[in-house]
Amino acid sequence: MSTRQLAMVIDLNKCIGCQTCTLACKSQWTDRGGREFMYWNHVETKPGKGFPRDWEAAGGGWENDSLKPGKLPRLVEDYGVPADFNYDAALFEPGDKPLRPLDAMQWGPNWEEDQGAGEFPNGYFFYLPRLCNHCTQPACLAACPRQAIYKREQDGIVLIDQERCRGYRYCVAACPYKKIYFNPLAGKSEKCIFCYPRVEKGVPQACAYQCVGRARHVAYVDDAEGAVHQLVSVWKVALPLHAEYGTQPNVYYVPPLSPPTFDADGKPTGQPRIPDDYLQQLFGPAVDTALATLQQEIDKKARGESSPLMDLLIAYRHGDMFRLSRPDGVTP
Amino acid sequence: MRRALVWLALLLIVPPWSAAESGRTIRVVEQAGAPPLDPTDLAWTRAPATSVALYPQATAPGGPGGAVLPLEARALHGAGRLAVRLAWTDAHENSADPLATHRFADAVAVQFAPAGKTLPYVGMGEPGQPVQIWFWRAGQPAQRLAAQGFGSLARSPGAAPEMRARRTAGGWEVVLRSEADTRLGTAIAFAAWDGAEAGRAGRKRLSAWQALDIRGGPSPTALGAEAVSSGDPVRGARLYAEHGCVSCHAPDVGLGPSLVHAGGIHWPGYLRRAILEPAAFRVPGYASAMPALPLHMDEVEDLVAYLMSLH
Repeated sequence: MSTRQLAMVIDLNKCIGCQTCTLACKSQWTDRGGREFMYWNHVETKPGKGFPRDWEAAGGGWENDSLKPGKLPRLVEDYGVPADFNYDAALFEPGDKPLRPLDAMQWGPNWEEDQGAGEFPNGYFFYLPRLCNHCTQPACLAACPRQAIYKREQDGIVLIDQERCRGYRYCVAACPYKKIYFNPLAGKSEKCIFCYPRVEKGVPQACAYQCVGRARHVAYVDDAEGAVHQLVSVWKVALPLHAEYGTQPNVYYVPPLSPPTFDADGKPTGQPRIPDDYLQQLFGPAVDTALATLQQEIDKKARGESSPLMDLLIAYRHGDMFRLSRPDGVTP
Repeated sequence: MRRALVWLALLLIVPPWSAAESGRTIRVVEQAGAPPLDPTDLAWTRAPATSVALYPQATAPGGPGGAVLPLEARALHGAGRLAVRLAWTDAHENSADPLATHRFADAVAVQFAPAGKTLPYVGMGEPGQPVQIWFWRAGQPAQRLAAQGFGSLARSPGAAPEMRARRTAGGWEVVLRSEADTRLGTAIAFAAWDGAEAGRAGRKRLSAWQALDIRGGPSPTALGAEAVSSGDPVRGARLYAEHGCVSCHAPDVGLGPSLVHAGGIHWPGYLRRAILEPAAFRVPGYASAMPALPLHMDEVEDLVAYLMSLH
């Protein structure tokens, strides 16, 4: 456990699945050198198999004090190899050939975009942005026989020492979120670095700072004024994903509300479109109270009453969403 | 004084186990010019083929089980270079694949003990007794590494060994060649990883130290006390049972390292040290629970002789 822990809250009611975070991350960190298939941050559609395919069934994490066995995702089948496109033919040769991938891809990030589940008129889906959780009990760190993974004292960011890593991939199997990727060209494992070079300069993570929906808050968990403490501990509307994996993740989610289902006569039933038990699977039993609190505060705001929770989630000022204890004179 | 008398006694009687008689010696043949990199070069027929048994590493969780893997080793020396030719059976070719994140490549390693009268722990050396390693993984250049115990493996300065590998019908033939370094010392050991069984790190098969018989190097007899065990294995077996060693060291208990291949992987010197000073070198992952047993020196020798009979 580190002295301080930097954490993130993602409001799923504000995520529109635009993948700006995904591209902000990719263009900054993973667009070359065997990382092309990696998405340190991605947004997947839920319900769905996600990225890598079926990651929730791939094992890893903790069972009491023991590491649970986990599977290694396959590059072609479970991550998907990024296809090359016929740029030359489509853009620079005469004719009207459309731009198409040259190879048939088998999978990719958000492969099942907007598919979701349920039957018309009660189909449903929502977006789930995912990145390394910089866990308080990282299974990856415990699984490495070379102590190549460490958790930084000053902010709890979990990093892989690229000098020590020898590509054994015990960490990949151990991470229940499958957010460590093996780089087959480098022969080493790599992961989200929580943009630590930016954080050290007081600049928020690229995924959070570029989010057009103002869905991501960043703060230290011990910062009582920070959104993490407020949303997780005070209002209890932000919950960890799959807390039962036992790693104590530090990315939290405000669960999604949904419109009511329709009955056979086309009348709204009052039951939410996204089934409660599905959200419980992801976010645990506390999701019911969290959703009730959110609805209650939304109603207050609708009546013209004040709601500090809604004000926090609305994020009137972008800069207020990030509390990184910036050095003097540095503004994001 | 008492210990000195025991050693004197050891030298006077004919030992029931000795490295020389066990064939744990790799003879390095001298030749004019640098040894060939090509594993099919006829020059290799001049070097005697030593069959070295590789045992599954019992101390690694999820490691390979099963039978002993014989590895054929030959060594040539000339023009300041040492070359080792290794051949072993491996039914499936697994090479490093830039389009695979879940597969592992076949690999082999040659490990050199530092010069001295004692041998370091055969699995990656130990603190203060660094081992030099030449490492080859199918489909990649060879690496020069060094280690001083588990988890300490690191790149070593100096040029990487040259290598050439050849896939045969049922296995690999690999030649590794490098400067004949004075640090290479008195003994050599081998390890092989099978990509088909997700071999990496401790999931491997490894040999015991083999004395290195090289012109100008230390004589294999320098390892005298390491190499002999004069005890009675039958009495040793009785002591093993009486002291309840099995309650920790049985393969399925996991409190102490399994000793099923103890005699195949270790030398008498290491086993003697492990009994007399169990806290001196601990295999990581196991509690330091082994007591220093109240044994006479001849009883220690009996236990060593018994453990040397386990293959």
